[in-house]
Amino acid sequence: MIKEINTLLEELQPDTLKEKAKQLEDMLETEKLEALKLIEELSNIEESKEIQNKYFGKKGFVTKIMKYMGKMSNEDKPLLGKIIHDFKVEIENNLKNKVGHLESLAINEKLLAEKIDITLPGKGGKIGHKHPLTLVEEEIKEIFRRIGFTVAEGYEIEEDYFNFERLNIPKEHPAREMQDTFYLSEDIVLRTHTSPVQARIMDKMHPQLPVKIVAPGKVFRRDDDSTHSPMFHQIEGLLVDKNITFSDLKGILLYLVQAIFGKDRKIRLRPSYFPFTEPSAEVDVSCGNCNQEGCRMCSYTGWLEILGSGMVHPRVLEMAGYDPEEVTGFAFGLGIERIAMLKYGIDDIRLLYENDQRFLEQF
Amino acid sequence: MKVSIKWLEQYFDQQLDSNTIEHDLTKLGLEVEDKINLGDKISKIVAGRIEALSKHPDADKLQICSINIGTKEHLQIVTGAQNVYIGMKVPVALVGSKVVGGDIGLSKLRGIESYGMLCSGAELGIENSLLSEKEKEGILPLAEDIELGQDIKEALALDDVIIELGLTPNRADCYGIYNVAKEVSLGQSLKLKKLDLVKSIIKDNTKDIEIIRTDLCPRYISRIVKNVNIKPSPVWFANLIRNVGIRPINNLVDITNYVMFELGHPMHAFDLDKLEGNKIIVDTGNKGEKFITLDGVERELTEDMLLIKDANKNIALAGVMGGANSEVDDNTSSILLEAASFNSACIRKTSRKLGLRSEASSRFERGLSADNCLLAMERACYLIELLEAGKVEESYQESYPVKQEIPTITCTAKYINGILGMNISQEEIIGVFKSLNFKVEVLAEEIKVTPEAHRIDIQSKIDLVEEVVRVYGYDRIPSTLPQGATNTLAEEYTISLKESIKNQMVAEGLSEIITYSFIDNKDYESIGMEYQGDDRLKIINPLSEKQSYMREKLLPGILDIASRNYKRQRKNIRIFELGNVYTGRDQGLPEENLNLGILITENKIKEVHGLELNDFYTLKGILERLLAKISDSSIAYLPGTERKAFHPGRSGQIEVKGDIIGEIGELHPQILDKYDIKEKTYYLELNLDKLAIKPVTIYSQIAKFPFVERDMAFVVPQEKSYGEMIELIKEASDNKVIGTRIFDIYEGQQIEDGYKSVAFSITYQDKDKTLTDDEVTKLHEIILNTLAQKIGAKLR
Repeated sequence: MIKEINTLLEELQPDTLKEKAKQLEDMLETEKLEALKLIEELSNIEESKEIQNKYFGKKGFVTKIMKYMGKMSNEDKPLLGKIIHDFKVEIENNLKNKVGHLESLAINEKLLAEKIDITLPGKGGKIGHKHPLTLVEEEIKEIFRRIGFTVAEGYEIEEDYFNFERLNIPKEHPAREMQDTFYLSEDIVLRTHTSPVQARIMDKMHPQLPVKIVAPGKVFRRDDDSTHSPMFHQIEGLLVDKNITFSDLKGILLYLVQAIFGKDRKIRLRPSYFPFTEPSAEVDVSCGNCNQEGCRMCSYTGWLEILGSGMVHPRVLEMAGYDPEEVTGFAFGLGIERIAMLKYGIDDIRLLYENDQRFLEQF
Repeated sequence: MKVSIKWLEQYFDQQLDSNTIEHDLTKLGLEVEDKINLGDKISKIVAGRIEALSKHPDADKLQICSINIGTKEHLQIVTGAQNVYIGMKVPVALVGSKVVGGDIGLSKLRGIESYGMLCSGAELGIENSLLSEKEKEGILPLAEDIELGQDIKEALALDDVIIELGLTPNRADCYGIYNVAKEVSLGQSLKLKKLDLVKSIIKDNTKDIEIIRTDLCPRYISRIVKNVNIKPSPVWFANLIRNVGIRPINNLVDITNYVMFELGHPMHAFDLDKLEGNKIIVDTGNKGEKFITLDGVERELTEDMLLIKDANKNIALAGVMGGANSEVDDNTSSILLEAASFNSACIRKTSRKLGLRSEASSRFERGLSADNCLLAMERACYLIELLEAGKVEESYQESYPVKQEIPTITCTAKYINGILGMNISQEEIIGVFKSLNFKVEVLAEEIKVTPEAHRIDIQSKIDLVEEVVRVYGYDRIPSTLPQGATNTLAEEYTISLKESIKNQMVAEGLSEIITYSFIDNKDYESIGMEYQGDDRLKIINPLSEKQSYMREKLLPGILDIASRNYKRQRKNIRIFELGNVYTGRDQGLPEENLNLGILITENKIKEVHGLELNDFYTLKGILERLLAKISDSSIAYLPGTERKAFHPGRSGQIEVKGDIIGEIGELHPQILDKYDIKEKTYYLELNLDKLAIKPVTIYSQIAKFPFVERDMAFVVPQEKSYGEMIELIKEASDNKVIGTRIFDIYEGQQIEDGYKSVAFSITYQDKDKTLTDDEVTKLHEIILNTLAQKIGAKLR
């Protein structure tokens, strides 16, 4: 058709365009369809260059027919221009799209040859693991930070005075038997509980209020079997302020237990005895293993003992300089091992200190 | 403390349910540790009498018994026991019965049919320690007063339920079952029976008792019993004693034990005829004195031990154990009964020092009310008469120099409710005190309360709060949240520092371990720490030698864990511990320092992406990233450590601001050998106290002018370190070097022996202007000249 078009244009006279316009348009249309078909059928970039040259090269068809524009009268120029433009743009666009497509295909083909096995393991080592005791300790600290408690720490090696006397456990008090103590000297002990932090912090804060802390840390008792370790971890809580009540203690403990074990858990307080709190309470959490139906874990009672607590004994407040008629407080202490064992279903406390990597990696 | 339900039932007009009691006691604060149904493993066992015995025709060791179980027909039972005789009363397990250890059916022993089995104590579930030598011989002989055919559970009170109480120190009074009964009556609103007593009158003349140490013995009561008739206790009485865990011995001993379990108050009986001078003296002993106690052991006394003496000799270790010289025996005809009160601390010390703990001492050392002495005495006398054990004299002797003060405490409902956060009415509060048998006097708002004498734990008004709330019910306390002012106490930086270090370590692929804070002294040798005299922190009373010293380093514990994991075939061990180490000080508390220890082993496992070998620099990289995160101080590494734990050529000290804060290196192969680790292992231990300062960040302007990067390669003597070179480059750079990167170190071909080639890429930048090419070249030359002068570097 190119030939025919050329001939037509060759013969075109400045004033005959209008008559020939329809014919030219038709011919261009035919040529266009042919070109689009060729473009459509292109299978590689090389071939596309031929088409590019054929129409848009220096001696290409479009370049050529544009030359006829000069022959046209000013009146006819726009008409011919439009006809040629329409022809040109459509072929150009199609060719560009087709080339783009062919290029993508070519790149992807090349990339597919670079395929890797993405199921192979990633590079770099494995992640490490925090000790389960740390996980529980950090969780409890966060639970209390959220409600405005300050995390504090004390000495692991403590004076007898702070470990016992300041907690209303004078020498020869029968309660000293409850906690078999390691001694470094007559008046220096490995602390048997985190409770001396109570006295230390009250001394530091006095006379300010509130005293509102949780204190995690290592404690030591002369005991070693499948349920006792000579070193273990506790977290102590203390809130001393005006108008602190036993019911506040119960509310905080419920908050704690539900934060650790879940909203569906209940607590039970049982009267107990600690020299530094009165009234005192042992706190049980409802057994989540059997939903209180009774199982081996809870010794068929439906309850699991998790912590000790109570209202700070007036003597303890007094010794720190606070007036027990003006100020009250509560304190509680829980064993982190106990919580970890319940939470993760660990049945032997010694696993926590064997530090077998196969154990640690589970947390 | 064992409590028998049958024993408890004596004090009430009705039977008791053990489950209800368990529930009530728990609610009231007496912890039920265990509940045992004594006879739940046995059934269908009755009392019988051996009417005839004959030898088994085909077996020497078997005998054929004809047993009367109260029915017309006698049972034929074959037994292998040797302690049987005609007329003996025995427990008979019938066909279809259960004994401890199995079911009993009709059996044939060497051709002779046996319609059941005769039982030993163990087969009935009675603990060996509760049986006498004679009872342990074989078949359990039954007392004469047991009826033929009677169910053995009933006969021996094996249908009893035993509740094991874990008593807290404040409730030592509940070592007396009668006081437990008071709690039971509280829980169920049951009427408690009064104890039967033999009332008595005090003898005018109390010269017979002389208490020298009135501080250690506030009260001493004695009473004479004549015409003593020592024999076994009746079965019902012996059963109760056995059920609370005491072996019945004879009526007199059983009575003192019974009173001790009933009222919590230990008593003692002396053979009156063995006492001299008609006098009881209570005084401490003399150092070095010897005394033989009832158990036949000679004890060496000290001057702080309290003794009971007659006119001439020591006759008992007060509150702990009687003496052999005044022991009641089969020939005893008169006794002197003692009910006394002793200082708890004194008894505890004595019992500790002698390593002698008795039922009596364990009660006295918890503190007992002196008021109870007379009650115990009158109760014992009643039982002596009841069991026909002797004739009790009408009057008793007493010395009571220090009268027990029973406090009267004033409180108000407002006070009680203020502590509890509750709203209990005054009437209810008074009701609680009355239910406890406390005397109550009300003056408008004020409630004056006088507790029962045995409740020596009630001393102040907070004790009353506890009584109110435990009786009222802990389950009725509401849950509220505290209101109040804002907490002003700031958290110490160390606390969050520890958390972020742990986070960082975990991100580095290290797992956290926690080891004991105490180690073995030998562990120090194992890690090559020389002995430094006696200043190491030693535990006076360790559980074992292995846990007897407070650790000064984390290394022993960490190596131990590494070794344990290595032996369990773990490779590529990457662990850390963050914890305190301790050093002694001349005065006051020891120092506690926060240390971080990291251990990694050489990784020999081939991975698909290639082997990433752990080495010194892997560990150093971990440390560098950690320090970059937590510290803004510059860190220096000084080659070589004094510690024998490390490879001398691959270790060094870590220095921050002039302080050595730790060590890093490859562990010495000889040390690793001791821990059976066969792979190269890298370790660092760092003291964090100097780093526990929160870095303050202030933004500095980002340089506006371009930087220039130039490479530089030179040859230096082999022993010159990268650290030295970096220092020199910095020195010479006029602050215009903003970065250096070492990218090659080469020794070998083309390099002279004893030299190495190093290649740096140096980044130059001036914060005030663009550096020209000439300026950079000049700086580059200055650096090279400095290196040449100072460490003999030559350009390659």
